[in-house]
Amino acid sequence: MESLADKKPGTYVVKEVCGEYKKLYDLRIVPGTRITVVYNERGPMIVRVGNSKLAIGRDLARLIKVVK
Amino acid sequence: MEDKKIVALVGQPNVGKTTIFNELTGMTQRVGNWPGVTVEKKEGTMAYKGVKFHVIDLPGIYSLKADSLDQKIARDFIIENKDAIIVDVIDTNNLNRNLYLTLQLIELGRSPILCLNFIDEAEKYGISVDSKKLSERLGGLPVVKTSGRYKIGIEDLKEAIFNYKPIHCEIRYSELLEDTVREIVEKLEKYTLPTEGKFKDVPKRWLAISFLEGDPEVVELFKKNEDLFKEVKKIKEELERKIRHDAESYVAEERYKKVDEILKGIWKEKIIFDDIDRILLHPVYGIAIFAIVMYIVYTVVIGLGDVFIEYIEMFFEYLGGYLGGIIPEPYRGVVVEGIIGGVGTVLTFFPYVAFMMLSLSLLESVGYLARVSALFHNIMAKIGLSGGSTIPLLISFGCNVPGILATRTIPDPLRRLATILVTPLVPCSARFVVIGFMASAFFASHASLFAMGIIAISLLLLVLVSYVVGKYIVKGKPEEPIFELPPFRLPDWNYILKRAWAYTKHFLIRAGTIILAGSILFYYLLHYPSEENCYGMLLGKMVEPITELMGIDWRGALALLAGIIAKELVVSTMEIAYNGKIVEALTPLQAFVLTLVTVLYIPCLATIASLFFETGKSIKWTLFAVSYNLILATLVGIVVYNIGRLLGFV
Repeated sequence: MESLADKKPGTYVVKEVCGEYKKLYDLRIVPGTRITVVYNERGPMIVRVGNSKLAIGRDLARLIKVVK
Repeated sequence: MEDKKIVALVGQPNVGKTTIFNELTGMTQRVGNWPGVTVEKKEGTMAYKGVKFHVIDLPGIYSLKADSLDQKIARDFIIENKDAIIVDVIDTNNLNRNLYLTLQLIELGRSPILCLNFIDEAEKYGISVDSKKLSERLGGLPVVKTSGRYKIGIEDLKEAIFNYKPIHCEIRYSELLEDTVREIVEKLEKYTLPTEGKFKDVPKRWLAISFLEGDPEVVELFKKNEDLFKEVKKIKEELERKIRHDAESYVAEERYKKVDEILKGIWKEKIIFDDIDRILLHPVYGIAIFAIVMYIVYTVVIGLGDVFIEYIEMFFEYLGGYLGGIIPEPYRGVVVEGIIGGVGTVLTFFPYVAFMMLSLSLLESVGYLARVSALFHNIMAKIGLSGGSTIPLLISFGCNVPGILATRTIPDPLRRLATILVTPLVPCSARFVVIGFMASAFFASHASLFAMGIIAISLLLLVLVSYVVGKYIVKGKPEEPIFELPPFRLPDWNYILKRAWAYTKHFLIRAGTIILAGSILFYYLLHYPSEENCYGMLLGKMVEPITELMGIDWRGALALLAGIIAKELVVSTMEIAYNGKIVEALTPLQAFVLTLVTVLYIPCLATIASLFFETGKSIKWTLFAVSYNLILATLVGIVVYNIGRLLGFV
């Protein structure tokens, strides 16, 4: 399974959240959620979950496994 | 107070909760602290149809788990105030995430009033919600649509609070989760747990769900009965075997599934796209934009400030002259030189402070500050801090105390501690008073160069100290960042003015209390028993052997001692000690060193107190912060003075 960190802009579905980072759940990043990569070049990644926009560090994004 | 019903506002960050609070309470609000911690507590009174309500604004929280200080405070309040009317403020645009917290409130046995805020924005984007159906699906909870900013629905909300009656409301999850919860509840009924403490009245169902979620406080509670803990642990492991992953994310998933089920067909989501963040968060363009924004802010603050400062100076000069003429001889000195000289000089700088806080509140209100945290994360991580440290450090330019308080939003406790420890190195408005005073007295033609130099040195030291603290003292890998970027909004002036006033008010209060008392005290220290042989001289001379190495005589040393109470007192004490003729008494080099030392040495008492409380009442960390500042200031003072002399300055 590929991680969110390697994804180009587009919409994906979260399959699994690895590691022990609970705050992701509070921000609705749980298996089954649709997540949209807005920007992934330099600096933090910008993603959208529903109508909220988030900036995520790349190492954290690696813990989020997604499928198209 | 006792007969007033309590209304508590609960909600996730960025839902406009404070604006709703302002609308409900008007001018009655007070800001205090939660007992035991220095987290801001906002309270006020709402009167409606002859009934008074006591309204409390709880900290913004994503969930009810006791993960962070804010969440713990909000949760404890809700648990301890069973009869409070809970208003759950929700960002309608993010309804499908905000209802997560609502479901947790329901699990806790509460029936909140739902306040669907930002309804104006939602309608503009074409997001619609059927509030009647939403209420039905949530077991009949009152639902009100509001826009705090445009004062829409505020009367409806007041009416809902007025008519509020608690109802029984229960939301059921999947069969598997419900079965597991029931099994745990059965065990809870079989075994006894310590009955005192805050959890004695909470629903057993809530305890069961929180245990599955791994809530640290509930797990601790269950551990008090070993047999119970063993059995419920088995039940949890059984569940995890069935679902093939951890129970914690399972509970979260179940809640969101339920939220989607509730919203099906009654809430229409619309994705709003904008591209500006890819530029604002870009490591090169983003920082260039930040630099431009800050440059504009400082130019405006100084430009506008100067206009007002001239008048304030004229006013105090006139007042001093006038009072000098009518006050009888024995009191003339203390009033004219002590009070007007001391307090007046400090108050002159009020416009800078006010415009600075106004600018920061404006940047926060439009949503730019949230971007700054994300933008600076990588740089901050390199020096041992985190992106979340950026805003506390920016606020510290106004005053270190709210800066230290703002660190509580940093989730990683080690990064938070590191940020608190380096905060005193950010030159605050009180120190700007000293810098500004010395600049205009000694370096009038190069005032901004002088100020920039002092600020640059202290920020350079901040970087060095953060690096050393992060590497050798508060070790540990920085936590990975995730920041919510709220949508850009037009400035809400009502909110901005209130917020800026909350900060600047302290400056005025300080001038009227501690600076006034300090000015009088140090006036007498310098004039009794006689001007040639006063107590202040004795005190100053005790410190002089050290300060002499930096070219500072006993008068300057005494001013530094005064500055521990509040940094502005350095200026007022020097005004008195040098009899208003400071320019003749010090050389430019001495003035430079004295300013530098004032900016760097022991933090003021208020900052030391916040350091103590916010490090968990740790004497060790408080002493560490105070002593590194003192050592740093002494070393820098001696080195700069001696290098200056070698270079031929006097």
